[in-house]
Amino acid sequence: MKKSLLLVSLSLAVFMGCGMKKEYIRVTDQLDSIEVREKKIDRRTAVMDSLIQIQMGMIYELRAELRSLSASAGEKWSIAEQQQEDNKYRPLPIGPNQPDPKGPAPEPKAEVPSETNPKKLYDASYLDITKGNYDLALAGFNEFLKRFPKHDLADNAQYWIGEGYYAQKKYEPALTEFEKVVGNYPGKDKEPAALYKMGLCLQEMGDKAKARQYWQLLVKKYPKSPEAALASDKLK
Amino acid sequence: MNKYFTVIAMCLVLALGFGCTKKQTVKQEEPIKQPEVSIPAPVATPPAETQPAAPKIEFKTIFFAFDSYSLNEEGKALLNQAGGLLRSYPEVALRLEGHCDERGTAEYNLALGEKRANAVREYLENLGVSRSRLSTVSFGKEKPAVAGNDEASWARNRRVEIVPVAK
Amino acid sequence: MKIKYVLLILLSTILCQNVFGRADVYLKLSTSERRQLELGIAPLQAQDAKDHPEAIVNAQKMLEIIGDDLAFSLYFKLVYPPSLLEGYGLKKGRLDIGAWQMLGARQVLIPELKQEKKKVILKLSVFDLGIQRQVFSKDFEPDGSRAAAHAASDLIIKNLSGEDGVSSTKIAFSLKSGKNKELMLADYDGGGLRALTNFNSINISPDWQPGGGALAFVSFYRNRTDIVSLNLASGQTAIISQTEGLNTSPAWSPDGKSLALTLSKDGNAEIYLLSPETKELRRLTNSWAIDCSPSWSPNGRELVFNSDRPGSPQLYIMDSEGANIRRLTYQGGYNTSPSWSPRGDKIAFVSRIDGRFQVCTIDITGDNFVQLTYEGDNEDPSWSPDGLHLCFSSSRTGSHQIWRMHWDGSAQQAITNNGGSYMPAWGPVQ
Repeated sequence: MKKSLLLVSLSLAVFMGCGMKKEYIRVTDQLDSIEVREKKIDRRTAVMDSLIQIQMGMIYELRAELRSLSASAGEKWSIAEQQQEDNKYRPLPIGPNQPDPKGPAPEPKAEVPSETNPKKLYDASYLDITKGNYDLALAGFNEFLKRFPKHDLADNAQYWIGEGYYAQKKYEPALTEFEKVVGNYPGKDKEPAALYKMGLCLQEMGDKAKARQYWQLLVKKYPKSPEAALASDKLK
Repeated sequence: MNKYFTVIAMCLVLALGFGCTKKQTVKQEEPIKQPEVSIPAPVATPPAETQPAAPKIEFKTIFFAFDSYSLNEEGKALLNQAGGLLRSYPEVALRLEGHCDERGTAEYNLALGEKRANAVREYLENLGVSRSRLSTVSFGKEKPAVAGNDEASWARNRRVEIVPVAK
Repeated sequence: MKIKYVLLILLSTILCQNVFGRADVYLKLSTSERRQLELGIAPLQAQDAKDHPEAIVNAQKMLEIIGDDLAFSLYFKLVYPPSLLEGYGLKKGRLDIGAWQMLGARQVLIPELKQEKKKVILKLSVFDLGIQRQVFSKDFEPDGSRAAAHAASDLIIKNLSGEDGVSSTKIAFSLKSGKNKELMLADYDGGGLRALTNFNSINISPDWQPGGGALAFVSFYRNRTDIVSLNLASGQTAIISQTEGLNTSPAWSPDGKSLALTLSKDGNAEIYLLSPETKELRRLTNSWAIDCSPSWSPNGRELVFNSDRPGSPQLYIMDSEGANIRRLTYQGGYNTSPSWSPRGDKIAFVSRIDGRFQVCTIDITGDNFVQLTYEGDNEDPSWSPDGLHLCFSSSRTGSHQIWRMHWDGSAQQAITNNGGSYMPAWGPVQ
């Protein structure tokens, strides 16, 4: 009985061992094949990753190229706009004042006295501004406006009268004179600068609210002027 | 894109399904491998010290025309290469050093050198490199790469040097 | 063969005429615009100082410097006697008025060494031949020092012309040494050279504070641009601006209250006004382009600056609020480095002409573009405080030296000889 029990249990053990081994082999095989499949997937993922990276790179490069092209086009546009703006200040005649190599320089013609030569009177008055001779400058520009009220530089002369007072910190008369630039020469070159200065005068006089109104008007009316950028800073 | 996500999803399902086996746990510890697209092996940066050493990746110098900060085709091609590298190595930061040739005004050239460095930075940014990784500095005409006053020397001095720095 | 010779002769005559023609123009400019006083210079009288040979040598040295100062000042046309023998132009110990009038002098400077007690003094006096009276007299110590000589020159200039001379002014500049550039200081004629910085780095763009007590400059001591101030008396430095990006082209306002400078902290090079006392910073320009190198008008209300907003670097003027911007230069495709004359009327700058860089001037109205230099590259013009002279750097001799000249381009001369000298800044009258 004992023997038979032993036998049975032994054979059972062998049988079961056999079965387990089979099972073990099956599982390992399965695992192996999963591993192979996984490696394959890994490899494919890697390839796709790299493809995506390359595609992304190309998209980035296209974007960079496009942006750099549009930036340079934008710059060219700004340059063209600037040059148009600059032409307003181009003095005449143009060309370096050098000894003429072809022959003796012509003797300068008898100069028209400054009282009757608008450009000379204007330039002399502006020079007085830069030197700080404000009384002389104001007298000169006022004389200019009296004699040549329709001259191209009239709005500029009016602006410099305002500046002549502003430089001396006389903000009330400066405001009145800058106001005349806006009132008498609307749409001319000096209007944005005059509007900005009116705001500055009012700020100095303590009327911040009114100053802001002028700056807001400036930003609205001349959004592209350099003074509009300054006004925006002030409005912040 | 769809296919890619399916693959990832499948991977995840498989990983979950066999999460209990020992082999799989080993597998999981390995990171998902980055694709090898003809990129040199990354150089490990040493652990943070007082002065971490810069990664040893070299970038080609970008050259410019006289009084210009526009990138030419060659410059763009070189930056496209650099952009690829930088996308793969997010730990690398760059210092972009703008230079000019000896001609012209020193002060204007300092601003011009910066414009050149900025042009390179903007291009790299558009290539997907984060701005926080890119710093600029201008040396104007103060640090020429080569001596000499002929067009060949000047051309080599109008440049942006791309210097990897520790982030 | 003969034809060739004739052609050569013809050609050379044409060339000569051209050269003389130009010299003529310079002469005309210098003399017609400014009345110069014909000042005779009598030889040194030193009978009294026979026992002090060193005093004689020193006095001669000083007289040489004074002569150079007075001639360069543009207020005088110096008249030297045909003989430098002691006593020439004197008759029985008194000035030979007729002899000096024959030479064309209207006033005569008489230098004498005199024994007074145990000391030897150098007496300088000026006699006016028209009113036949002494108009100036002052005793100096004949120590042979450049400073004493320059001081004497300025005293004479002040007394005879009423104007402030620039003989005692200094010029700061940047000197290359190896890979570095350090700031140097020299007399306006190049004498008395000394080093101001020893930063072991690149230091450029010196700009004088109006009183002359300090210089602002750009230093690369952190391997980037910072604006630093150097107190000349104490040698102490202080940081003025260290914002992110560029900190360049410092320019003190004439009242010394604010500093115009170029910063790029907001994206690209723009001009700002900094009040170093209150630390208040105000932005003046607002452009996608480069804006740099501001220079003040003498009344402190306007600034001329450099901008490449029209596609190439050109000069613009704006007021100190940043308003009323207008373009000044249109000639050529590269105009930089503006410097507003202390007299107000002209702006000196650098223009690229035929591929080289030349110092030019233009009226503030945009008229009258004049080229002042022709050889080599000439850059960084800076006005003397009286607005009559300019200093600049030139490569015409093969190395960069500091040069000076008159406002019309005449009398160009190098004041340094060590090479690698850049960016001079002419200091104020102190």
